[in-house]
Amino acid sequence: MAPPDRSDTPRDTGILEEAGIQSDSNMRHNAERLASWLEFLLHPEEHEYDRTVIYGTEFGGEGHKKEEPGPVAPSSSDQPGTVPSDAQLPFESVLEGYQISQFIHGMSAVASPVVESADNALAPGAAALSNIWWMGDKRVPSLVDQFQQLGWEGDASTVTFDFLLRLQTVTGQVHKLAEQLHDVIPKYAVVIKGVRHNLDEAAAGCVRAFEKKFAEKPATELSVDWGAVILAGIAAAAVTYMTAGTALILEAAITSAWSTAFTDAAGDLLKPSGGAVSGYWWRDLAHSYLRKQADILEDGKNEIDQLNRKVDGLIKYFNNDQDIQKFLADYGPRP
Amino acid sequence: MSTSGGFTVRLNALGSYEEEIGKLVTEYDTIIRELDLAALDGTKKASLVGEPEKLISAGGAVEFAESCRTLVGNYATLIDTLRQLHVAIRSQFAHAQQAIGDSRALYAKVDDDHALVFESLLGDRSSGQER
Repeated sequence: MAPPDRSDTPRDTGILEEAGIQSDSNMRHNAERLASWLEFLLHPEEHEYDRTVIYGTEFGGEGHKKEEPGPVAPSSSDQPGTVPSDAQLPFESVLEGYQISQFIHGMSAVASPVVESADNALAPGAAALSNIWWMGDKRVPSLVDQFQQLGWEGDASTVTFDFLLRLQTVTGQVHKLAEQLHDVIPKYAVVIKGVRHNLDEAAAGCVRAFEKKFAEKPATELSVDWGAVILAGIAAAAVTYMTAGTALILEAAITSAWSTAFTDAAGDLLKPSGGAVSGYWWRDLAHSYLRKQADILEDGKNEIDQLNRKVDGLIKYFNNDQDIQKFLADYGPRP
Repeated sequence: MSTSGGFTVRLNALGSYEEEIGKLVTEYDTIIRELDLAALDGTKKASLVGEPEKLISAGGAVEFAESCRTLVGNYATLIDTLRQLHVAIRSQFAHAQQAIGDSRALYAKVDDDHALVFESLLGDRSSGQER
């Protein structure tokens, strides 16, 4: 249900574009609905519905504020015969001081990253790492084993074998790194997807709470549930999404390999949970939603930070591995 | 099989092995091209991280995006390093392929030279027969 005399689309969609929530974003629909309600609630001067009325200022007092379902006329008993029929007590928005941008700030952090579509910038790395893993785990060891079946003996054979063993050592070391780094990539995408999902659902929950508050004016605190997914534990989950293992992933198969890895990761890692937007006053509902938004972002940040600690550890592993570093010193690019 | 003064070699097997390493080098070419594609320039990095600071300059959304930016940056560093390493690995396998090919050619030449010596010793009789 849209606010009275308004649609599910806000009158000013510029804020959504500014937030990067484009028309093709999955979050756009609920972002628009939420923004439309916020426009309505933030501009009581444009309608005759909910507002915060400021009582007690008529005689120079500081006044007190109270939510009301519409305009409140001054009491005629205060100044008999002096109150025009269309007069009303001063008022402000039930969400006075809030801005729409606060409510879609979280969405703006995850709206633009391209991680779910198969042609994203992470997909080639995922394929390359899968292949690096395969090389170190299967291909190169197999090649070295074959060497011993050649029936080639002598000094030349011995030094060639030593040379191949050194390459096997290096590819083996880097294969361990690739295995761990490969997991980081789909997990990053899954965290973004999870945060998106939760923010979208929280926005939908907030809109439902607004609708209920407006239509029913419950006498007690209302609460609206929304479907969340658990973000905690994604980074630490012991899973491997290595799509190779039997053959090299060629460039033409990069996108399909990513789709498989991402779908598997999202299916395994995003577990359903629940959230709620609750409160009695309009401001309580807004605060409840904003608290949820903050929690979602904090949970997401914790997972990203964990992934980053892993990548940081892998950089140290790479820089401190004597076999890799000696190999690079001997055969790597010259400074 | 050729055997001579401390070495044994099967030229056909060595030739097949040289080809196998050649295939491996080609596979490393694929990996290097993929690592090239995986390299993240400014535009690609931007495609992976939101910009909530354009809306509000601080807060949880901005902190979340900063963490994402750090992760993507470190990942990009590691991908660059892996590319350098794999260029080196690829070049060494190519070197091994070349060296095995050269060795095979030398073994084949020794075998041919050896055969030629004896063919020469037998040459008068065989030549006579042909005439």
